[in-house]
Amino acid sequence: MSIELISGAIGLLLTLMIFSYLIGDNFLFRSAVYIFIGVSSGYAAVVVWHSVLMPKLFQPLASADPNQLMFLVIPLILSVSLLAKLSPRISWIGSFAMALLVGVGAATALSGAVIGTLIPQSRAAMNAFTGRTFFDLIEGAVMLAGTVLTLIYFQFSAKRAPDGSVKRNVIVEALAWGGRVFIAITFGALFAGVYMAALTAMLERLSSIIHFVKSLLGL
Amino acid sequence: MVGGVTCPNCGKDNPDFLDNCQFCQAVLRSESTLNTGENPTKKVTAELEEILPDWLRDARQQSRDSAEEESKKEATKPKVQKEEPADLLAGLAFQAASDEDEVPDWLAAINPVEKKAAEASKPAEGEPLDFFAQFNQPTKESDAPAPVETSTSDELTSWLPEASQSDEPLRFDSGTSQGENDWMNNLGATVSHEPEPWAEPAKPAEPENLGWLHDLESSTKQPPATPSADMGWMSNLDSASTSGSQEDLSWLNSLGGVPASPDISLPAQPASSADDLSWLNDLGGTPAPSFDTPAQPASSQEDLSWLNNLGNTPAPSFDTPTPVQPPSTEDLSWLNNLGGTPASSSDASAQPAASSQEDLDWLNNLGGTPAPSFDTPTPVQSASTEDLSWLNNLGGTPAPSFDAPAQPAASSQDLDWLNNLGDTPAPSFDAPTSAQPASTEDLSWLNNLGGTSAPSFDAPAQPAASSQEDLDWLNNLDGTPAPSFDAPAQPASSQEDLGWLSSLDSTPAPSFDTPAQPVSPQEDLDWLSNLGGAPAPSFDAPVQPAASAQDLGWLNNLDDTPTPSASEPVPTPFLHTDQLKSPDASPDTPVTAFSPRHTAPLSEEAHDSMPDWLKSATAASSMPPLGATTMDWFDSKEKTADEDTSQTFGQTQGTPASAEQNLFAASSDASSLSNQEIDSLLSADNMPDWLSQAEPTTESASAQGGTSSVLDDSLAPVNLPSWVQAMRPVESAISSDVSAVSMDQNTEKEGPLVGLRGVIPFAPIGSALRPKSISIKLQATEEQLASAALFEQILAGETTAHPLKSTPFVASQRILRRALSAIFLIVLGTMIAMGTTQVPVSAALPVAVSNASNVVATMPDQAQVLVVVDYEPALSGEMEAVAGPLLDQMTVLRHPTYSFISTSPNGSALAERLMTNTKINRPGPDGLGYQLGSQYFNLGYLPGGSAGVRGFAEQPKTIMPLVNVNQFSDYAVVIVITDHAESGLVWIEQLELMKQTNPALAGQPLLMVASSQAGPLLQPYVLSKQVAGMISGLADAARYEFVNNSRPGIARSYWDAFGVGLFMAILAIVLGSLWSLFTTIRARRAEAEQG
Repeated sequence: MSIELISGAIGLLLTLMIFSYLIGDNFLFRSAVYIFIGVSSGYAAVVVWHSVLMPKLFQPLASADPNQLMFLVIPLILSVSLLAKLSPRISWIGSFAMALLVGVGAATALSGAVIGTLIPQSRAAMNAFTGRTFFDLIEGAVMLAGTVLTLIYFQFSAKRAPDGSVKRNVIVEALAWGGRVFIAITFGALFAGVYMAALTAMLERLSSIIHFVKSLLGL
Repeated sequence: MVGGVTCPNCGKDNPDFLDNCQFCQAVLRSESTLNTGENPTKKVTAELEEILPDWLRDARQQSRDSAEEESKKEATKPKVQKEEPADLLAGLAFQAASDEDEVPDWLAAINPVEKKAAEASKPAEGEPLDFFAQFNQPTKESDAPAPVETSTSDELTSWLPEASQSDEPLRFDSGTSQGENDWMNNLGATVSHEPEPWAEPAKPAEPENLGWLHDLESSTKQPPATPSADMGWMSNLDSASTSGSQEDLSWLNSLGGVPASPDISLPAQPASSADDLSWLNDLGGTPAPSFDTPAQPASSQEDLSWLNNLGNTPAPSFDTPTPVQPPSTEDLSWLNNLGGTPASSSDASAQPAASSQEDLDWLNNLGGTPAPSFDTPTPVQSASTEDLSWLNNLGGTPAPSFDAPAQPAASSQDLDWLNNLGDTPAPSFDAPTSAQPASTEDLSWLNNLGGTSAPSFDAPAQPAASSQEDLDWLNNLDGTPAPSFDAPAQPASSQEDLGWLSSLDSTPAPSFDTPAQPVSPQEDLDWLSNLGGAPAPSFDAPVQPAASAQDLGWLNNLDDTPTPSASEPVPTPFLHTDQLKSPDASPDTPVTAFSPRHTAPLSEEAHDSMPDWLKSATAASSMPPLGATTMDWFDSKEKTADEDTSQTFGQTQGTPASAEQNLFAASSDASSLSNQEIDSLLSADNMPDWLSQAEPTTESASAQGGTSSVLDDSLAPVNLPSWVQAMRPVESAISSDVSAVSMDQNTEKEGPLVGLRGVIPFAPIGSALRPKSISIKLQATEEQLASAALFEQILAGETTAHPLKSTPFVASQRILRRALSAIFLIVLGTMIAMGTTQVPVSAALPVAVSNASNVVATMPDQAQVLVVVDYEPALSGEMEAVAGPLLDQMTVLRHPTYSFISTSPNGSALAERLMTNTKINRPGPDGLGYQLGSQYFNLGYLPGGSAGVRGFAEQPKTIMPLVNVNQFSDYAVVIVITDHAESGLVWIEQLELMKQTNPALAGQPLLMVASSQAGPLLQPYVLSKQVAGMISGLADAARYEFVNNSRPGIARSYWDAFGVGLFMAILAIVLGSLWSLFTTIRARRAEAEQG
């Protein structure tokens, strides 16, 4: 039996186990989930060991190069300190490494978000009316309206009415209603994308199962 | 004999409890002290005045002032008529203890006068004799024993000389009690050893020689227009605890602790005359001689010459002219100086005959208490006034010159005996016994007798209808034996009976005989109730022949007290004499208080001579038997009287009628009286006229009198020092009209504040003065309560756990879910299994897909292409289908070298799977035959997230040692295959940053292969040109594959099933929405139908 048949059979079994959820939560479904989580975690650990720790930490340490050794000890200490998070008593030891990760990661994300998202997207929104055709103007107007109205929708500043109720301004309320329409369309598009992704994934699974069955049957 | 007392007279032993010798009836001891066995001590109450609290001093001062005012007011009030209810019999209970029936000897001495007075007062002849007239009859029969007379005379003769020897003038304020006692002690020292000559006039049935008063009367005559007995001076005679019988003058035995005091009989006033006996106000607490002021007819003459022998000092010259003027006035104001002041001649103005007035104010100072008004001006009466002012200099001073008031034409009071009073100058006795119908006896001279013993007076009765002898001052004789008043009825021609002096031997205390008024005279003897702790003179109020109303209120205290023997006048406390001054005071109103003394049992003769009513009254006596107790009884009476001064005597003395009712009240309480006796006493037949009268002002006071008598019995006796008694308010102040006193003023009954009213404010329980109860219940309106209830509901809603609304499990949902699942599986499986390609694929590529295709078309050959595999294995099927056409076209067209890298650990495996499923690494003819490590590189996992991306973009070789490029810009195309927008954004943003710092990266196209769910989110980056091209979802992949000659064909294999699956999904959503709309409409209709 070839490896492909075994992998196909396992794949088929696990797929059926996941499909068993259509009739409700069951052991097959949970077993398949645990298997996927375990395999993924094991696979990730192996990858990290082989792709990160071994080539980037242990192999340089083993080389005994004093110049590299100093740059490897610090990451090593920081990595080991993260293990201290497993125990609440000594979790404080890994706080510095965690702070370093969060700080560096936040700084990188913020800089990338500002430079890579806010400014380009704002500029793109401003350039919506640069189209040459009428439809480009309508598209730009819709984009501008969608962006403004969506942002107004998230404007929740309001005043207290004489009867005690808190209401936004009427104009803001109307604009927010328009933003809600755009948001609904966006969520509809997202839902449709999710549905299409899931549908595509299911079709791939169905195709895989069918192909495996056909291969088994020799069809 | 242990505890025995030897009689100083006869030398025989007597039990110590006896006050008088049982053999000779001589006084054995003085009883000025409060307790038995205690010697009288000098009490300087003036010193105590300073330490008194202000309020008490103010109260005392007010009481004095009020006493004066009331005395003045009462002088203007109309006299009480006879029709008022009389309770005088109540006081007869005192006499119940006495088994004597004998009229005392002093009565015997009065009888002749009374007879004369009766004869003289013939205008009322047709009227029955009043009560005292009965006593006068036996009085005549009972002759006073001779030794008594001598004893009395001895006292006076010894006292007055000593009084004259003392240079210090006697003071009459509150602090002169010592002086008062002193001379009384001196009197006691000389008791019964020397017969005095002034006892001789006490011969019964003989008119008194009052000739010495004629000169006095001449100067004291007053117009007799408004006769009124001025006896208000007796109002201050405190400690009126007892009431004495009318004929009992034995109280004089204990006057000032001395056995004897002169018995001065004042002549009765004729019609419309008033006896001013107010001088007796201050007799309380100090011994005072008793003065008999027998009634004097107009033509009677009182022989007072016996006074000439009193003492060894030059006796005052008693000029007792007997003016012929009918409206003579007896001026007794000379007695004001009796208390040790230098004798001065008292000019007693003659009063008109029509309304003579006896000015007895001089007796005010006789008592131990300060006289409220020593110099009580005798109101100018139209009637004649007996000027007795010569008595002012009676005490220890040179004998004054007396201007005897004008005497009535036929009367002659011989007061010459006063010339011999002691070593000191005898006081000027204007003892006018004016028998004038409208004469007034001015006895104000007795006001200054405060430091000395006050003599007892027999206030002469006013013969006229408007004349009254107010003897209520006897009511104030609290604590001391009350004097007995005999108010003999005397017609217009009254006579002063001084025959009582004959009994001074055995009973030193003289008695006052107040002659009866011929025409409705009223003698107020209430002053007897205020007689203080000192013996007070006894007054013999002669019976009123006409419609006279004698004030016998002093009889109240007859209860529990021994009836004085006929031969032994019992010393009685002095009462205040405001009533005597009061015009409305009944002249015949007796005193209410009486304190008889213990005497030896009377003889059978005396018992036989006792009136019937006295016999009945003595049947059962609450008085302790003689021999059992001595002076203790008096002490208790004094104490109880002190406690209830204001309620008892003080109040009752305000009106004579009250004193009368006190008598009844006392009798009701007296256990000594049997029912039969009471009946007999209350019977109208046996009741004297003066008792049957009711006075208009007695209603309110009678209750007080009754209360007082009750209190006398109920309250425990308390020993009060004399200074406390001196501190007590002046009786007249308290004895104001009871009705005028508000009920909210409480009268103190105990302690040193006894008698004071309104000193300590009291708040009755339950009155409005109590703080109102405040409800602690919250006062809230209904609206507030509703709001509070709503608030409570809100709080309860917040605190109580609400059960989660669980959607009811619909079986159809499970079926629907299973049915839909089955349908989708079957339909899509069938479609995939069948491998149909019926559904057409559009050849028009979207802009993003077209741009991606252009990038592939424009990229150099064999260029380094970085393929980022950042998607999960779950969506590997979609991502392989979407990325397959791009990679296939690029591989086919440009044969690039792929470097697969992934920010996910699973990325390396997925990259390999991608290469396999897209048939790139598969060998040909179906695959492209790419080899790992030569045509594509699986860089593996890129750790660090965005930082890893940033680092890899900056230094790819450093981060990925296996990378086949030196710089990141060496990659001709960067393809990011992702199913999440976030992972795609990381690459987009970090590459954008790199493009800002590394211009070499500016021309590096970034292609996005995204899942259908991530496509819309990455679409803006496509429009912003940050992403050169993007293939999103199976639809773009199918189009791109269609353009790429349907290579690799994965997308197309799914396209029919995908199309069907979308249609089924749309159909399910539409059908489900319609069903939801249908159910909603049906539910609303159901609600509308249900209302």
